[in-house]
Amino acid sequence: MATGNDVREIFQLKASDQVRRVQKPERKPDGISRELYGLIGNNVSTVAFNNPTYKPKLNVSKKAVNWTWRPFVNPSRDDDLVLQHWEKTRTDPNEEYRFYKFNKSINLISFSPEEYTSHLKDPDWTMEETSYLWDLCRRFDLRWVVIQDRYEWPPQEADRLALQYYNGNNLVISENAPNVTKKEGEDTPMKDASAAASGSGESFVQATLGGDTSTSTGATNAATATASGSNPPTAAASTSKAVVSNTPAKTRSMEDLKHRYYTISRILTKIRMGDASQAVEKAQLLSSMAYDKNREIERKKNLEILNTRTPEQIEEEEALYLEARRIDQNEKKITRERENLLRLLNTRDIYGPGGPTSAGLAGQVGVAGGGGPGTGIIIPSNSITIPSSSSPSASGAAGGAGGSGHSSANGPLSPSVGKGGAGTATPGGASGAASGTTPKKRKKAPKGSVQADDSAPPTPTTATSGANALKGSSSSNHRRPSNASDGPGGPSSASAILPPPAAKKEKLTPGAYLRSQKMTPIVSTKQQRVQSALVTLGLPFKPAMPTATVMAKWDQVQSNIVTLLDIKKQADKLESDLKVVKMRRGSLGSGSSGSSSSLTGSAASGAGGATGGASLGSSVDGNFGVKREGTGDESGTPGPVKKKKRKD
Amino acid sequence: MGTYGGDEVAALVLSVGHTWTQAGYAGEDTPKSIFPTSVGWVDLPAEADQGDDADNSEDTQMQDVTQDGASASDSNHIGKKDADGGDVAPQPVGAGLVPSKKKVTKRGKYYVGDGEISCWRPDMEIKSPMKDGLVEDWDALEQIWDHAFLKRLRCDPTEHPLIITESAWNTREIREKLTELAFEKYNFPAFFVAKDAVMTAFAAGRPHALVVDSGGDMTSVVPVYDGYVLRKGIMRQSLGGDVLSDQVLQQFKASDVEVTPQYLIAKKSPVVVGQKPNVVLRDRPATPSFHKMMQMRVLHDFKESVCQVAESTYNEQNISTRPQKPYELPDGYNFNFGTERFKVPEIMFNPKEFLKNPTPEQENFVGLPKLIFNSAQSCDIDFRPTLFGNVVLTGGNTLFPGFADRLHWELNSIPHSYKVKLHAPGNTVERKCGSWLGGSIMASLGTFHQLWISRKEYDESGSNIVNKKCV
Ligand SMILES: Nc1ncnc2c1ncn2[C@@H]1O[C@H](COP(=O)(O)OP(=O)(O)O)[C@@H](O)[C@H]1O
Ligand SMILES: [Mg+2]
Repeated sequence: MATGNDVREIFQLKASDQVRRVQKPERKPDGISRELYGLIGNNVSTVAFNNPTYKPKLNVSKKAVNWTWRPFVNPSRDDDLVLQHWEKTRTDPNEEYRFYKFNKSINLISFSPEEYTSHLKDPDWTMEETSYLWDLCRRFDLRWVVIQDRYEWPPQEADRLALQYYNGNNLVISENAPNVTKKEGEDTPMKDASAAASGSGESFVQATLGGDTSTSTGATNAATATASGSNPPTAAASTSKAVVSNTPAKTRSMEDLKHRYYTISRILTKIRMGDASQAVEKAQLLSSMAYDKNREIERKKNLEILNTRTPEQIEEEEALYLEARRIDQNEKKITRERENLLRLLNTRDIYGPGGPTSAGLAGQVGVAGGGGPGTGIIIPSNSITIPSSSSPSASGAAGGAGGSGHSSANGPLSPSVGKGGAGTATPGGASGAASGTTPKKRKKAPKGSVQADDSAPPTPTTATSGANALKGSSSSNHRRPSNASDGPGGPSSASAILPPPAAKKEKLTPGAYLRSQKMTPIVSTKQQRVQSALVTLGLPFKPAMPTATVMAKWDQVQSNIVTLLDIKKQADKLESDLKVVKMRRGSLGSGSSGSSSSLTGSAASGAGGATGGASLGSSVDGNFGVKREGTGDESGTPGPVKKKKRKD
Repeated sequence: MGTYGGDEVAALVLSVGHTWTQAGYAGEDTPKSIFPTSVGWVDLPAEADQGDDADNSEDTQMQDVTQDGASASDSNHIGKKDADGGDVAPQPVGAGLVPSKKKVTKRGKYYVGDGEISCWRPDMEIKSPMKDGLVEDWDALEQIWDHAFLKRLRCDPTEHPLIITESAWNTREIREKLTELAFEKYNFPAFFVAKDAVMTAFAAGRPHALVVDSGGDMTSVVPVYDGYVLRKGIMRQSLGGDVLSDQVLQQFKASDVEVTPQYLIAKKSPVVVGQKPNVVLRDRPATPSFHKMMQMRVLHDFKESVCQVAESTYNEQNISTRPQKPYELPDGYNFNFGTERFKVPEIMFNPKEFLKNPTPEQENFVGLPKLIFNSAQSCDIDFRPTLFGNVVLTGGNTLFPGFADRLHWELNSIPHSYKVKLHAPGNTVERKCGSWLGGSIMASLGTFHQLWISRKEYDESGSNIVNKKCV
């Protein structure tokens, strides 16, 4: 392989030492790792070493450009003022002044007096004033802010002359334009404030000078608002009051001026460009001259309102905006949580009463309205008091349950209806019975159909109660308590024809077994809490006499506890959420009464929505009063949020 | 050169403020000369001119060191720059125009320049040609022009165009007189009068700006739109650095401290903090105006070296934890100043509360943020966001540490939804000479040269031309 040295050899050049050195790095001594040697070894530095290169010296051979100090005239001027400057020595003596090309002026459509009288008349304007406006437009190149600032009709004599000087070729303002009373020279030093005042009215300046910010921000017309206020005028203001000339100058707003200007421009364009060939150009021009005075006024008014918002308002708006965004972002999360919750409540069915027999029994009992075997077991439920469950929030979760999962709560409690409510057998009780009959359905069906499905496979023994239950639960699907109170009249055919779901058969363990073995296991994480709840209830960890009935009830109690615990957890979370929302609302301080009423409103609707929950509540009375409260509360939680959203 | 549009015609730029006069060449970044606008005037019989010089040299030694240093370096500076051969070669002094120092006019004598006016003379009155931003004393102003062009810049006025700055509320009559002065007395080939607020905006590189200028005698807020002053938005009040210094004096008086200017002190010895000064005074009867000026200098110096603005709201408790600053008056009295040093500049923000013993006029003062807000509020609503986004701070009185921070804070706490951006040059010279700098930039632009009022135009139209061409 040919190296650089070979090439050098061919060309009979001296071999380069340097190159060779680079080519043959020293060998790595034995007993030292390559990496280490790379670091400490006597090898080529990894950092490229460049010989410092110096900038080439200034190329003096190039000839210096000649500059000369010479006089020049500026063609932008109409006099021949000669100024002097340094410039590169010219080759062309007649070269134009470099900055001449920047001397631009706008093209204003001007009008003749004849045109004015024939087309441009306006009752609010005289021709003199119109041409004064035109002069100003030309003078200030359509800088409307400046035009409006300097606009003063009738103009001061000196102003008039200055404008005339500037717009020499323009219309001559009629000589009888009224002169202004005062000469600038006699004015006191503070005059300028008053000059301003004469333009826009005395009160305006006074307001802007002395106006209290807080008031001036309040109204669109800040000036008048504060002028009427009792603020002491500032020195300048009071002086201006004294100096202000007594001829009330005509005040024209910027909108007035622009409106006049654009109207005339449009008319003139229409007249001048009658040609059809110019149609496109004309349309373009006309559209560029479009001006809607009222809209502009409206726009500025709105802008004023926008700009005079108090910090609280801005803050509130920002908070609302953030809230809206938060809601948007959390919507999914919330729905997911909701679904979880529903699932949770439905899972209760999983742990529901054991066999069809017991369920049927329970159902029967419930319908029969007798004391029944259930009573014994239910008693403890009277005294179920889980610490802090008395707080309304605990109920919050329950409400969530109430929304759609109420029927599950019903099941185990229905016996108590029988007990407490005696023969009245409220629809709630009925529905309770219904779920009681069909506790095995474990499929977490969408909330709507859950209970219908559940109640669909009634056992023959509980045919009637099944029908009742069917009615109750199907109506509770609709979440309307009134429906529930329809009573066990006609079984809803819709639910009746629902296909019986594949009921989950209880697994039969071969051989003999202990009933206590069949006790539904509790998730280990919850075990402890369930047990402590059992202790509170004064129950042993395991039933002493696990008969089939006892076991069924036991399972019910246990699953109730689990549900309660879960619900409580959920409720705690919702409560804290609610607290946060309430706090936020409080800090916003906007119509707390309104929102609170909405809160109760939604609470009511929540309660209404939670058919099962409500009916359950009413039927169980004290037992789960907490729960009932929660029903409202839980669904109440999104209340203010919803409201805010709407407000937004 | 064409890229930045510069075309320098060796124009002179003159800015006569209430406290300082600045003069120099267009295109440069600092005025060549800055001297007090105040002039000294000694009323004397025409022949009583002798002996004055002797007095003079003796007195100069008694000037305090900084003043001497300042004036010396000032003249050095000019000499050096001229010798450097900048774009203008040293100009011979105009033949007929004698330097005005001690020039005998009528029956008295004017003294102009730092070294001259701060020198004790028994009968020297101090007067300022400017009041409220307007020329009041034309003789004194002429002295200033003389001093600037002939003594400081040492140029031939007939060879340079002149641009001067004026307050936004200057009157027609005054500008006409200024034009006359420029063309009739000095024979400038071309002349222009520019609004100082516009020039300040220019120096800040902004066509639109809300220019907040707080100088010696007044504070003004002027909206500028594309190089034009919006007259209806001009807000001003006679609350400036002098009022603050006067308040310092009142504070000293209240705590029974005498403020003795240098010219009265023959000998002093050090004293313990807070103790009465141990001082031997000279017997130097002076005019009240001279004494006042010298006293004010001490107070200005105190104020400029000690005072500070609280960065957010004034909170006595927070402020009392701030470090104290020691200051020694010329007579040796010295003290550590704590909260006092925050109270004085606070007047700018809250005059109602902090201005002690206000005169009836002063009772109506409003805080600077309010003044700014009111000014912007009187402009078209579409223009307001631009104004708030381009607040330009200028004037010596805004140089207190913390001033810009505080103003920004205050402007943001007024309820409105505009974004406030404050432009406050960190460079002291830039802050004090904003309008001069703008004039310097503008007069060296190629596109500007069509705006000059030429001698010919003046001859044709008279002094009135200034009101037509300079708006
Ligand atoms: N560093 C400073 N801190 C506080 N005030 C200052 C400072 N420098 C100057 N001043 C004050 O600014 C005022 C002069 O303002 P300036 O803008 O320089 O002059 P003019 O009055 O001519 O506009 C004086 O009252 C002076 O005390
Ligand atoms: Mg100034």
